[in-house]
Amino acid sequence: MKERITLGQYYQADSVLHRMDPRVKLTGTIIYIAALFMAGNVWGYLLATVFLVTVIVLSEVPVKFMLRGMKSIALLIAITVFFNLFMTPGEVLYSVWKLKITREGLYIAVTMAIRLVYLIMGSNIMTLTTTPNGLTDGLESLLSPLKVLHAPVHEVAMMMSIALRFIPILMDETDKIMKAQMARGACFDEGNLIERAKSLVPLLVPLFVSAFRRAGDLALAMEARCYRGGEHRTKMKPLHYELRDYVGYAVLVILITAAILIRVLC
Amino acid sequence: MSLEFKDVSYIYDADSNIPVNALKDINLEIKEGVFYALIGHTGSGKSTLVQHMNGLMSPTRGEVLYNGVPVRDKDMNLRELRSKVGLVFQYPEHQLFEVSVYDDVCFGPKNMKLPPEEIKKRAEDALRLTGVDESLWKLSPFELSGGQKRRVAIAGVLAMQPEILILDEPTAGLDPGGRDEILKQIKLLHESRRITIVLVSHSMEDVARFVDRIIVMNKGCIEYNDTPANVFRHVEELEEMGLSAPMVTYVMRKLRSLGLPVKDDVITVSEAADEIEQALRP
Ligand SMILES: Nc1ncnc2c1ncn2[C@@H]1O[C@H](COP(=O)(O)OP(=O)(O)OP(=O)(O)O)[C@@H](O)[C@H]1O
Ligand SMILES: [Mg+2]
Repeated sequence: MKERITLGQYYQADSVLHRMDPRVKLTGTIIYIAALFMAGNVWGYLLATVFLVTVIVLSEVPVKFMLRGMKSIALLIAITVFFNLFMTPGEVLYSVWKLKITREGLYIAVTMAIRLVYLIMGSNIMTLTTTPNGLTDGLESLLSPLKVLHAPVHEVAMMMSIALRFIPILMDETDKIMKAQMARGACFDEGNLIERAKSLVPLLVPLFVSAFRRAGDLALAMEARCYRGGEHRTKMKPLHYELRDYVGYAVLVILITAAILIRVLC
Repeated sequence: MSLEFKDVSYIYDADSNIPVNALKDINLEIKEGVFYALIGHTGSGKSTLVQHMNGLMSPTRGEVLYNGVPVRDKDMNLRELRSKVGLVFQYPEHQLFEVSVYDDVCFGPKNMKLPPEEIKKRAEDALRLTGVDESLWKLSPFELSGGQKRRVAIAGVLAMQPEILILDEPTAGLDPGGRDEILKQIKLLHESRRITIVLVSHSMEDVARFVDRIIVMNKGCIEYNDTPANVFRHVEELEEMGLSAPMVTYVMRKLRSLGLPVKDDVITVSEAADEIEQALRP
């Protein structure tokens, strides 16, 4: 049976990072990634490590949950490391059969692996400590200057939050319909490819019907409450910066400055 | 047929930081030919319990035995088990998918790999049993009313001719007329075929007069498993669980406390009327 998937993998807790304004966290993720990719020597990576470890400790999320997110990209990292290790020309350190490990390859493979792992860990922390709704709110607010260019920022954010809201519902629904059909003897993991594809019909038809029904109901409910899009719309929970958010921004400024200084000076 | 729960516990999201203890050490025996009602407040674990009965869920701890064999045993053919233990889900009409009502009802028997004549026989039989008019058989299931869809979905499970039929809130979302009709049809089914029935509900009022035994669940535990009359003696405890006894029980208790010598374990209105008449007769 399939696992319950919690979207955006939000981990409930009450840490400083959880309470921090999503805008700070979004900006922070971007700055952290920039700093990470600017790193060209040990000091640069040390800086990123210090920042990452601090944030992980502050987030109060068990490391188990971070590593769970890593599993899905382990293969990607393995492939990247493999190709960089063996395919980079340069001074040969060690060779097996036709495969040669070069000094340059080793260096690139290691830094690449570190970058990828740090990148995923960093963005995982953001999604682990921010609810999907917080993320869309933050994104809408950060992108709102684009409204001047008539970009439909609010609409896109609304669509995103509805989609996010619907995914767990549809997952539940899938689970229910699967079980209901299994109760009637359906089997979803048996037979050859064609049989398997066919066995999805009893799942997909009710799922689509229900998705359309829900979408229709939601549209009706929104209209019945006079929803008219972004113009003059206020928020129930407007985003507010507090002291910790200013501190957060200050830390980010220090981080990016340090990263630039290391890049230029060392 | 025998279905038995032995110290069954189930925990949702066991490895997350908010595990939900949905079933706690359940011991239960479902006996052949009995009409059970499974009652509990929302979230008490009814749906979780019934999904253990046909192996859709397996216990975190403990065992569910069907004819003495653990449901999750290697030797258990789950497909066969599910045809013997028919489970009709909450809002079963959401599972309809075929082009016609008739074809949809055939889905279960087809999965059992029965011969075509047998499939036809069972489907027609099931549709008649649930009172789906023959004029509807060739229609698309999406053209039917809510109550009609519900019947078709129940027929879809009945067509497998299960030994035990479990219905998870078969009347949810129906109007009182539709509700009574479905319940009467189920009662009729029980009487004519003598199949074991487990009817999940959160209203005593609806089911009390139809069933032989009531199983009351509260927060993942079974509080009572007794005849309706005996269960309704615990009005105060039931109310604490967010449930209530049928209206007549309250009336009779009130009359009794006012001094009229009536029994307070009656369930139906007509029983109550007889009882009051008897008490008033000089
Ligand atoms: N898929 C799930 N994941 C996590 N928790 C769940 C899941 N399904 C149910 N629960 C929890 O398990 C408990 C029992 O749920 P269950 O669905 O069995 O209740 P129920 O008695 O059928 O309620 P209702 O009358 O509302 O149908 C509830 O506390 C519920 O929140
Ligand atoms: Mg339920």
